[in-house]
Amino acid sequence: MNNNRKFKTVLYLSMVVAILGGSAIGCAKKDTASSDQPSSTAKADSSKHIKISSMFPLYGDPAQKTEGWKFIEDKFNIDYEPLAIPNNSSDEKEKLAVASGDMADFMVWESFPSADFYNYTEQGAFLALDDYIKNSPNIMKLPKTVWDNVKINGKIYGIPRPRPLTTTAIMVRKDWLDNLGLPVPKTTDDLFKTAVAFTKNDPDKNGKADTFGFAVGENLAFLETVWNAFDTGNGWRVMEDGTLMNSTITPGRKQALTFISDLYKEGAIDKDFAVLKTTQVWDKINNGNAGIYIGNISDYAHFVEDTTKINPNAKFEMIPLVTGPTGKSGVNEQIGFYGLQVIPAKLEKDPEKVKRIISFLDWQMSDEGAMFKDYGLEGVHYTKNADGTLKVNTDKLKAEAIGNLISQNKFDPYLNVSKTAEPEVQKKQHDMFDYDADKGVTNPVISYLAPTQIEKGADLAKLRDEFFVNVVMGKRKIEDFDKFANEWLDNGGRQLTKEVNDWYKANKK
Amino acid sequence: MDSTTEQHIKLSNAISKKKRFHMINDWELYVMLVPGILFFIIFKYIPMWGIVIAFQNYSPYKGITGSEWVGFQHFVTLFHYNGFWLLLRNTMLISFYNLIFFFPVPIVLSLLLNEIRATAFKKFIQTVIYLPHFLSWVVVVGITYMLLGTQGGLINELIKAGGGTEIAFLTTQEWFRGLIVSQSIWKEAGWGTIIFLAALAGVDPQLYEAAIVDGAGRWRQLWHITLPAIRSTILILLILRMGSVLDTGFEHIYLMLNSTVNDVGDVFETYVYREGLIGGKFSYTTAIGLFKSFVGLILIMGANWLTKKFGEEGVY
Amino acid sequence: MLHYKPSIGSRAFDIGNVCILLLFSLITLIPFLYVTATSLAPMKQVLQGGLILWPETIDWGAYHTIFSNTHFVNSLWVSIFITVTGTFVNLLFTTLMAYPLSKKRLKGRGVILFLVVVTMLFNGGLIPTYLVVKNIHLLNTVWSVILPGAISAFNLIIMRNFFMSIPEELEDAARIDGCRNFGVLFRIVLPLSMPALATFTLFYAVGHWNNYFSAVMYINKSDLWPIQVLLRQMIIEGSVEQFQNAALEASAQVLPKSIKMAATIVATVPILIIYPFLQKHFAKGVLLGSVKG
Repeated sequence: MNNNRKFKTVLYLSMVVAILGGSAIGCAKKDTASSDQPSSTAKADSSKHIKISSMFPLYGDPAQKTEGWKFIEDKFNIDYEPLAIPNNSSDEKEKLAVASGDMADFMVWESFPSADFYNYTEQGAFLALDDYIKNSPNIMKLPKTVWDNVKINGKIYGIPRPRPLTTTAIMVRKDWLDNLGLPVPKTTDDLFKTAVAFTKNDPDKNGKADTFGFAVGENLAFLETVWNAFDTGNGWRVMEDGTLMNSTITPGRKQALTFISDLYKEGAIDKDFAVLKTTQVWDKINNGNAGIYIGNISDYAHFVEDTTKINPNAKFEMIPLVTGPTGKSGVNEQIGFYGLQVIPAKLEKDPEKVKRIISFLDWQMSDEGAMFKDYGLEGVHYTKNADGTLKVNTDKLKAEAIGNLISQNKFDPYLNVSKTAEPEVQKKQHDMFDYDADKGVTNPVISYLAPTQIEKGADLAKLRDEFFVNVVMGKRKIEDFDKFANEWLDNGGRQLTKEVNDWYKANKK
Repeated sequence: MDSTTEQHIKLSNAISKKKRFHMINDWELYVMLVPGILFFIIFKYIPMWGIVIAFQNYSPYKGITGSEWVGFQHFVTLFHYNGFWLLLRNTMLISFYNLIFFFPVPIVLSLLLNEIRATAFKKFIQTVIYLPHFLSWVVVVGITYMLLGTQGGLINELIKAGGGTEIAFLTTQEWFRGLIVSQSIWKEAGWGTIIFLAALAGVDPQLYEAAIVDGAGRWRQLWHITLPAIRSTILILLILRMGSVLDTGFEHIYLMLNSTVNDVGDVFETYVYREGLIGGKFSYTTAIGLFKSFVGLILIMGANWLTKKFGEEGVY
Repeated sequence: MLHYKPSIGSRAFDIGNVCILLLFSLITLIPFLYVTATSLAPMKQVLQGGLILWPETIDWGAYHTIFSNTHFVNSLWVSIFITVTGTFVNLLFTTLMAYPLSKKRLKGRGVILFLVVVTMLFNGGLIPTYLVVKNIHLLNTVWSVILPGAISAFNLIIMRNFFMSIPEELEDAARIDGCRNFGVLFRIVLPLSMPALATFTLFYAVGHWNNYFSAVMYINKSDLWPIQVLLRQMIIEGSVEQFQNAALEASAQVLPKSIKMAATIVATVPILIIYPFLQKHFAKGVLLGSVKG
């Protein structure tokens, strides 16, 4: 080992670092000189070859540098640098990117609403895109609700990645209903009876008491339509006097909790629900323990497949919503997007690049872009048959992971229909999305993040979950609901309600 | 002992006093320190400026220079938080249980392994017991659920078959801390033996032989030869352990925590996680971390001082 | 080796010892059995749930998915490089620093050690560390994953502790024969510290091999992803987003759970292979023979 040489290298490195180390401090600000091109003049030349980087969460394998990549580079006249981050840590990486000034030319910011995002926006980290996108046909196809939900202080700071607004359905084991001679439940009372029957009457006819009604997860997850049947409200409920009350303490919530704790007493809810995470809940359905599940329409496909693998006679069906005692029913209307594409404010100096990015994103949201994302390039990864169907080279497609070159998708209410499921399953999902479309219960302040929510939101949620779970399990009394509501109000709920109502009055559309 | 070596040693003892005096000024030793010191400066001390954000309302976009200073405000918020004492109590209790129940296990295991003379068996056991270290907490907690769940959990099935009523292990507060410690032992005790086994490997077998000749039984051999060999390692580990008195490990507790056991299981790390989810709390969560670090530092300093007072080698 | 007649108490202890150790081994073996069995079990058995300890039939599907991934071999090489180079860097830096600190009369030793302990407790956080790595231009290289972890303070302290247990006389003997400090370290102290070195080789190597988070934060190029990053990408778990983009993958001939288990095994087996080579250094009596040196 040559100690001398090593010593010198280390010394050199330390000098380099000492110089750079000083500049490391306070370097959280954005770097202004990263653009490849000189500041552009008024007339942007769209044939200029520029470099564009894009950061987004990656599901599955990273894309290979083959025909699909080249296609994009040729089409938009760019050197394309997709920075795909493993999805498990993409949130962290996005925060790091903004904080360290290492933002790509455009990137996905996932978590929304988020105090960090609002802060960064207000501090000027992101470019306001209203003017840039107003002439982009596909981008502007997004529904008004989605734009409303994404605006901050009246401006658009990111292009949303559209997702369906309503995605929930009730799913039951139809074969169990048939075995027990039960009709499809239409009201919450029916649902109660069904769940108890699933628990006590051996619906799978195997002589063992190994079944129960509802598959439920920790903090009472997967009960969305039950809450809505009791009119709890989605996040916040518009009360009779026009003000908003948090759905945690509405009268409907108390009734719903009573209903659910009665179910629990009968054993009709998974006794271990309080500890189960999502995949563990799904296990209970797949192995034939649970008979009722309330969740994403897109999940229906894999349930159908997995339940029949164990039991070919299993018939998992989605059923219409059940109504509650006051005749109400519904599913939660969601925010309508998952993550948004943001552009760093520093690119304001490079309108040509921004234009190119916008046209790239617009293409990604077009029909052509959607085909590219799912099937790759015609003639390379798939060919069209005479009858309009496609012959896809799935091996090549999978190996090259073309879909992971881009991160923006077309606005498509049927986006979450499983493309690899049987046609009849796909049709059912398709129909259910249609069915759900007008059943959404809105959260009137879904995009608003109140200061008290930031400060006390986590604690209020903890208080709520503790009470709800313990009431259902019988460890606390439902009669204490009012006491709990007061505690909730005293611990920040009152302040929160005021802030939300003020915002609502000021911004009601 | 060989006579040449005896001579060497006598000679070196004579010369050593003089030589050692010279060795204090031995520049080579300082040169050896340079890479390490550089490492600590560059990768540990330079980034440490990040700690000051605990005294600001830090926004990463504005940077340290752009964010406003708020002094000790976040610490005040922390101490006034009505769940603070709960967090402190839970954290300390779990840490304390770990100290009492977990800490000795690798030591005992390594001593037991040391007494095995069949090498193949010993190697086999050594390899098997460290295996769970490589599994994620998700797997370990998942297995725990399979064993202890009320609906179909194996242990509860056995209890029911034996005529008893099921025990809600996972949703009863009294079981929580015990479960946490048991899982830690299950998963990490084996891996923890490695250090002690390495220390024991350095013991001269001739010492044992000499002791046997002197008529010492196994207990006395253990007491006078084996234990002293690992005593300094135990002490060092114990002192370092003091530094993590307010650490409980995040993932493990987070996976086991649910709304029925918050009162006994909610610790600083899960609190920090919750607070950090919605964002905007860089400074607050850093302040909590700083608080934990300070407490740890005080304890390490105390433990180290105490150790040296008893004439042992401390950590520093 | 002297032989002596063991007393009854001694024999009883031995039997009890073996039983305890066997019991503990059994308990610790179960999780690993479960993971292995689930990785090999047919889909139906896995879907049925429960604590699988033996596959009904062997289904290599999960392993096939992993090994046939186009990036697998590349990631494997990256991980091997990081582990081997990284561990070497670790051992070099750590021993170089631990040795002087094991000398009682080194001036400033207490201060240096204290400052090292401080780094175990106080940490600037991700963003400042990232900025330092960025400013030394290590981003997007494998060095960004190796250098910031070059010394583990914990390992340093323990290694120093081991060095302190080496009798001074042996070093003096070497010095009399003309060794300088570097020579004493590399020719006397290190060979006598094989158990310690084996231990830290294991600790550091495992750390590198299992590294996920810093690789994701510091490396953007997917062809520099170590194996853990790749393996986690293959696991599709419980979120709509997963199914949406992975539509092409999801023809579900292999269950996510099986892949997850197989990934664990793939990540662990290499370590299991290395361990026996290190284990021989835990044999007793390493010091034996050195006295004659």
